[in-house]
Amino acid sequence: MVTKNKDTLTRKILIVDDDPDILQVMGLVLKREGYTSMPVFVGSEVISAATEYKPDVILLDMLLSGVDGRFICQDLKNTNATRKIPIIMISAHPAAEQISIEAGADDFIPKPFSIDLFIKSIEKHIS
Amino acid sequence: MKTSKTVKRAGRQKESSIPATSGRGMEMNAIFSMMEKLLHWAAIIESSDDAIISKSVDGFITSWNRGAQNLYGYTPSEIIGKPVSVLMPPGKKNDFPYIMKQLHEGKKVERYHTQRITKEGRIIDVSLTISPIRDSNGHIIGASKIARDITERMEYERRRDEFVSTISHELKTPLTSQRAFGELLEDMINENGDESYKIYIRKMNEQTGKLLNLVEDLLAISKLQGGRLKIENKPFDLNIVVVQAVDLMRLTTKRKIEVIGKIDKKIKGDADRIGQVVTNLLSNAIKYSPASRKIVVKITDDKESAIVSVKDFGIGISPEYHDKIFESFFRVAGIDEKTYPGMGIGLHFCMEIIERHHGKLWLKSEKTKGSTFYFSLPYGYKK
Repeated sequence: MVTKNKDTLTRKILIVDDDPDILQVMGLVLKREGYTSMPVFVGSEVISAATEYKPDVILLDMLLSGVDGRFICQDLKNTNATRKIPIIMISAHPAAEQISIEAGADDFIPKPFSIDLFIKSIEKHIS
Repeated sequence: MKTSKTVKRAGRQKESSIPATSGRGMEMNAIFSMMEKLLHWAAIIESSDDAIISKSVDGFITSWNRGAQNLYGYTPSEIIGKPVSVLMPPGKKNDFPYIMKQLHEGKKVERYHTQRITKEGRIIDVSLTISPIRDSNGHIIGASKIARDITERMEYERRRDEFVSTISHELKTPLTSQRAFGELLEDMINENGDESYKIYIRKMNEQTGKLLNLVEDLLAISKLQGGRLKIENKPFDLNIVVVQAVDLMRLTTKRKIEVIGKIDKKIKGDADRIGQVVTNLLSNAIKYSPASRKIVVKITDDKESAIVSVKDFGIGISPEYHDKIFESFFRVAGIDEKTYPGMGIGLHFCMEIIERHHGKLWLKSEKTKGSTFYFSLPYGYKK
């Protein structure tokens, strides 16, 4: 596992998933790495949360109950306030990587991910 | 078969009026017998549920059975003399030059899965078997085509693939939090936990990893069967791929894995998939040789191909199973072998990967004397 890094303390990550356990464990891992994070459980709240919270990276699950994550991704990329925020899409679906890139995502993490890969992917997009 | 009986009677009458020794009589007998056979075959063709069609060398329909009428909706009078391309929907028009090229080269087209369009404009999935028809001098004068409607089968396969894909997604979702919580807990215990806890959490995480591999295997086999497994075609260093797979395997076993040999040329293909093949062969070698300490991996080549072998000193495989073990879902049924876990898809998966690289996978083995699995990858393979 990547060790804690003081430089990351001010970095904010918005995590979007409809599975509360996954949200919790992502939050715990990010906290251990020194990031602050904000969980979003409902797809329809992502745009407003991203606009207000101004995260450095958005982790976005592809299948959210009721809303397709790729449309949220497209909306985020079409909204002035959020278009520059790197989006990493996460999914367990076999064809999801291709779909994510087509939707404008900057990166993709397949579920189930190792913590190492998870952290490295985030670090790659923190400027 | 009324016609057939009439011919038979007529044949007998002729027989009685001409002396049996007469050459002409024998000739007539032969003709009648042939006619009888022809009518018999015609009746079989006509009553077949499969569409049986013949066409000329330039692709015009020359005969059309009842099965063809049922499948495509055209009557013989509507379709005979028309180009066979009227049955090809937009997007499948390229079938025509491909099939004609095969036929002109005297080749058969077997179980070619494609789509056709009916008279009403409905698109159907068909499996075609097309064979050249030759005259007595061996010249190709046309082709016979048997088309089978596989629309329902394709629909079933599509649903099955969708089901496997959904199932694997459903399995992966809980595994995601299980894996992440497990890894997090392992890190925390490693930092300030009891020594005995470390062993337990590591074992738990190892089992989660195994479960994950099983789900991945299930998904991979479904992709293979649906023909959707993508194979890259890039040059790679086989030595590195083999050594990386061995190094990863060394982390999970106390067994000594020896690597012998090296090749100079690069292989073209999918390095990750070949790595999976090596991993699969290694894990089989370990699994089926519980009492031995050593596995030997060898990399060699000849002019045409690179050859990798994985040798174990384990329970071995009886010759009667040497072909069967590469079939999907096959597992050796012996009492000894049943105690080993597995789904019977690993070797089938390896075979598919190697065949997609135009290589070969084979084994040398005897019961109780260990097994050596070999695979070859041709240098000249081009997609």
